[in-house]
Amino acid sequence: MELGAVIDGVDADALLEIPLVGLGFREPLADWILSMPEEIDCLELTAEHFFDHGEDLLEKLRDLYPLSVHGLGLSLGTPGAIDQETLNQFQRVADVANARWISEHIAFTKTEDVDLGHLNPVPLTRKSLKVLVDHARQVMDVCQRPLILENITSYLRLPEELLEADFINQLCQQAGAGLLLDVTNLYINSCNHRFDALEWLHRLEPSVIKQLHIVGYSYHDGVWHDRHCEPIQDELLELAAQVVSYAPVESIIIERDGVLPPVSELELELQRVEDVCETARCS
Amino acid sequence: MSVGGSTRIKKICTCGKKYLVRAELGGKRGKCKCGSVFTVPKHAAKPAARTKKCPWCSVKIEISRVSCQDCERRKMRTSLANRTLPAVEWKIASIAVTTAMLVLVCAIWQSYLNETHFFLLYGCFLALCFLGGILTRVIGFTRKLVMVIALGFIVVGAVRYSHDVTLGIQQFHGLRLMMVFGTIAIALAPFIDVLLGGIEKRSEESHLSNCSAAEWGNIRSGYSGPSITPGYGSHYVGTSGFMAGGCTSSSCGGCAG
Repeated sequence: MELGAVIDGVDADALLEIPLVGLGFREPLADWILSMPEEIDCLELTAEHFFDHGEDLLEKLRDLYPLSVHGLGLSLGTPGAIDQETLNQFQRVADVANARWISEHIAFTKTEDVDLGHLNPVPLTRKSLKVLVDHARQVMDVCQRPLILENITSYLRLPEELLEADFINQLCQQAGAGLLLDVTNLYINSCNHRFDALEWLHRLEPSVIKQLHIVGYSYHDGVWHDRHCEPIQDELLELAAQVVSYAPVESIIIERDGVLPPVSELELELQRVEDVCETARCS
Repeated sequence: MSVGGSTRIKKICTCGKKYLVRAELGGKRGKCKCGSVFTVPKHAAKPAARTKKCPWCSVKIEISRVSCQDCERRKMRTSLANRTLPAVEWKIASIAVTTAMLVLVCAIWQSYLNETHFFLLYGCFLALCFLGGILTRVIGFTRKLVMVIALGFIVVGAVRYSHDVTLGIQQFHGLRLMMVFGTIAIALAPFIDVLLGGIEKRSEESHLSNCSAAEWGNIRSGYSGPSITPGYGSHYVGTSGFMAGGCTSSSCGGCAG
């Protein structure tokens, strides 16, 4: 049985556990990140960025921060075998980084012949579920690390046998994986497909949520997008706070890509997220 | 219990669990859920930043301040009560005067100005130097020089054209080009703070070298609406050919999903 954290002679209230707050590592930020700013607690590395190079950098980062490794191209939703070479490279990166856990998307990015170049939603059917479960287990067997799976944004509504939240619950349960809940993706889907994000969340088994992704959404021509280019909006922080208040979230990663903001802005965002977590856990 | 991070000490256990501890408990021993014993640091966590940007140089400042200390000092120097210029200001002022003199000599040489033109031009340059001095204090260090040089050529060009003095311009295409670019620089002056501020911040603070707008524009040119700009639209630069065309910047660290 897990014991609660305590401080000698003081009430349990004195020690507040909150998620680590960190960033998705991007090479242009390397100098800043290596200077170990106080705001960064942990990092998430994109595996594909280190497939061909960067082992020295990986080792440096490993010594400074708790790391997790995030994959883009394993294509767990594609029926058939996982590309062995990609999986081996993924495993190598996870090993060098000594990743606390690894993550991938609930999606497919390629067929047998074609690399589609995008994360595509899988049909929410029992057949897809089996494919994903098998592949998730295989990845964990090879990498020997916990795996968490991320929900994606989708502009399509595919035929479904299961609700998405139920699909994820079953996937995590059967594969023994956790959930990387992308709060922004959830929010965007809820806006584009007009459903209640909180209702979706409450259908989800809280214990599977291990990590959050968050970044500002973009809005263009009546459609919400996840371009990873915007500061985090308040409604996303509220949604994240909801999750943190009841789920055992261990870390929150801010994902910024494209035109990265000045580090002072990133510091502020990290601080905001930490404040939100603190408030959520206090309440 | 206070919230907001202002009165708490952050402690991350070796197992990766993160705790916030009330500041008055600094120095006490604690025990993590994993069983590890740790000592709470005595120093409180950095107070939660409530900041904004300095309206002059875009540096991060506390919300209660009007501008950053450097800009405040610059503005102070504009007052008659405090006219002592530090070395760096003298250096800039001397460069401004030298630039003005060079432009003046160049203009006379080219245009065979008569006496009236000369004094008119000279008056303009005095005004220019004065303006340069103000700019030195009001706006940042590097951008001032751009402004002074640009203004110099604008003034020379205006005077020459107003007196129909075109001799020399035909022979000195470089000068003409500088006049044109000077005009552009003036037109961009309202935005120069943003442009240079951003560049300086990136190079000095973080060495951020991002994809240029054009590069990202190229990437996105493949988009044809929402069906191809899904949430994962901008983040694939990988070995597997994510994103049509991929990011063309050698400096881009790529993106993640």
